[in-house]
Amino acid sequence: MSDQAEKSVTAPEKEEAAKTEEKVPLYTGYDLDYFVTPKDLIDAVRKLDQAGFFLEDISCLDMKEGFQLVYHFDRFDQPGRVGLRVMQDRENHDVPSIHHIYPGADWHERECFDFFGIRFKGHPNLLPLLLDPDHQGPPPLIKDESARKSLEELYPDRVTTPVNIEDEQFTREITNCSNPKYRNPS
Amino acid sequence: MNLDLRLDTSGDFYAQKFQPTKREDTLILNMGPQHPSTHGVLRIILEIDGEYIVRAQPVLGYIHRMHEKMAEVMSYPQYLPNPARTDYLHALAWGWAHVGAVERLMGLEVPERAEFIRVITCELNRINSHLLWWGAYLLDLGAFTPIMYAFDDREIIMDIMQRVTGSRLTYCYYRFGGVSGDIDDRFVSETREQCARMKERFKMYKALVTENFILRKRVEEIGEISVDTCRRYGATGPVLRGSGQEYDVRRAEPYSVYDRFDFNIPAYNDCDAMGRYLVRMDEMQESIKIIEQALDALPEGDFIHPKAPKRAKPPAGDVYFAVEGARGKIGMHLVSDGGKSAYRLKLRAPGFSNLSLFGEVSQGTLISDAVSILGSLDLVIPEIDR
Amino acid sequence: MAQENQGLTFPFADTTTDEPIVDIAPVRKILDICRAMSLWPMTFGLACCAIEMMGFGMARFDSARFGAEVFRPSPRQSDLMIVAGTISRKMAPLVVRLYEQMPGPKWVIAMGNCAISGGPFVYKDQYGIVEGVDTIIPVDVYVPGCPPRPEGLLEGLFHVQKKITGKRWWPLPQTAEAN
Repeated sequence: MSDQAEKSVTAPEKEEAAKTEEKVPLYTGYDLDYFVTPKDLIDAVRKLDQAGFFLEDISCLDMKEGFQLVYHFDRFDQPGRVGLRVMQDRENHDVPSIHHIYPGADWHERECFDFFGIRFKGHPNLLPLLLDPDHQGPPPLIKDESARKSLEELYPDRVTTPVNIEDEQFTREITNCSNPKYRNPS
Repeated sequence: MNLDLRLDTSGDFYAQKFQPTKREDTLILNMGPQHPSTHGVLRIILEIDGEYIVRAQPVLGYIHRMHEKMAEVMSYPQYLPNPARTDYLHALAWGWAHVGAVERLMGLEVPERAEFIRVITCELNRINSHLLWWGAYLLDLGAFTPIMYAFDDREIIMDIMQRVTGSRLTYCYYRFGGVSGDIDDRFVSETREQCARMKERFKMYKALVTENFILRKRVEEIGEISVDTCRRYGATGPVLRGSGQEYDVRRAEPYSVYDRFDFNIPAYNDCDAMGRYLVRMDEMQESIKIIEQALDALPEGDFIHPKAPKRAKPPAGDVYFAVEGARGKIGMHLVSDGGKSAYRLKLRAPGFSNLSLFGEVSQGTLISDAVSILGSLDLVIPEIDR
Repeated sequence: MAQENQGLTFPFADTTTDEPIVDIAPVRKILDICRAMSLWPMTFGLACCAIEMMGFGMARFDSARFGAEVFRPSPRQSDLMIVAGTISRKMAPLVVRLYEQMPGPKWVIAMGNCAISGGPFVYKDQYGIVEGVDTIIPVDVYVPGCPPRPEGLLEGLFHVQKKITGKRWWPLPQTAEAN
């Protein structure tokens, strides 16, 4: 296991290794990062639920291609962050609500509805959470047409094709996901 | 004519949209937004059967201050004071999360001395935050004296902090690549003195409050939250550790120099308000342990990286940076397009997730116990509303 | 963007109070001194400033020395409103209602930059806050700071007392005297 090997390396050795390999990409805080299709989202989240992850938050971005929802998951026992990214069309929202798997997602989804106007399918209570119900005008975090950037500009050199979650590899990867810096308390 | 008073349409938007259960013998009660035990402007719509809560629905947003929008409007250095206003009790942890996210995206190095200064000041701030929680929680439960003691200690720590940071409460001390000013010998000696003093105070607090029979009656076996409930709602921090799960960001994904210190992660299996109370009381002592170790090992050197940029301009990409705040896991999801202000900055407020489980946990409890549960979650409303 | 929202204004609070039953100058003077020396502030914390407001009542700064330590959670029992924090648009109607629920005569301190003018949260396209509490309720004393120190709030209290009685009751701080 590569994780085990990395853990056994002591701190000074690690620093030396970092010096020699200048080109090592910086740690971004994500241990795994996937694009998934809205259709696959429920299944992917269910798999994460079974693997013992908790939902950190749901972040959203306004970009040229539409909206990007970023679901952040982490784990208590074996920490490691998984990001699930779902692309949404500007007009037709078909992303399902995941509140029946993670009840904590309820508020996060309402927040995305507040700031970006995303209508989650199957959400029971899609009311303004943080905004004033009398708020006029478009949702506040929607960007002007000119300020929007494309996927290419925001994430250079990143694979943005959706992952196949039926694949064995996906299940294996999320089960073995772990933070390289994690130190076992024992 | 509509005889069901529960469907009174005279209430505001949220009162009208509130969906009560099908029972007919219940009453709808509005708690907040101006209520002393909600620690700010939280509002909770309660459906009650006598003194028992049937359904509780928090209503947020009364102090929504657009921090996420401001991050997109302001440049990175201009945004530096903002995180301190999100959670004013543990301002430095929020500042750290912001600074850390930018540093991670830019690949900035922080000198070792600066890391140690950050650890010391952040832990002092954590003690301050827990002390205020302790005083205010007991005030909620009807004990007035402890908050006087808590403020006595807080004022001394604030005096120490204001000499180096320049403010009492909403610190803006961390900079990209270091801190804004160095600490001196007086800071070190005063901090040591205060640590020694606090150790004696904790003994007194324990004898005076923790072992108090009345307090135990109000917190033991009240508001039981299982680890799985925490997981489903994403609750972290003392709420999770009070349920027996040893999860702390300082250990789970160590940032800065936290992996060099020897400290315990207190966790209690009781899962009740007492568990959460004890976790925070122990955490203050662990913080003191960390501060003393950091003061002993404080290296010489720069307090800010000599090549730290005045105008941060991270490259395009996105990072997630998490720190352990007094209320749980603070996360910042920063997306940059290479410009001088963030393309998108998402703040993960620990209180937001911690509060979201209140609706489930408060079901079937007495209203007075719900106040105890709310207090034990340690809420800071501006952090939740952002 | 959110500029349409800028036009959204809130009605000003109803400031009428009942006429006093006895309105003779010497009696009023004595009553005013009594009022000034036993102000009952409302426990009404909105944001960061509320913590400094708590510090103002606690052992070190001890507002009890100046007769203003009885923090009441109910507006109906208090005569001093310390607006400590940012007023969001969602909260604004409730601030007005709380003010109207207070029995007269009553006074208001706007504590901190947010309550005075919106403070750090004012920028182009802001959509969520009321820029200054004096746009919705009348304010007697402004205490600037982000947040103000408890000493600053004490000074604000002295000014309220001065406004009620027409006289400053406490000595000026040393540094202020030197100027």
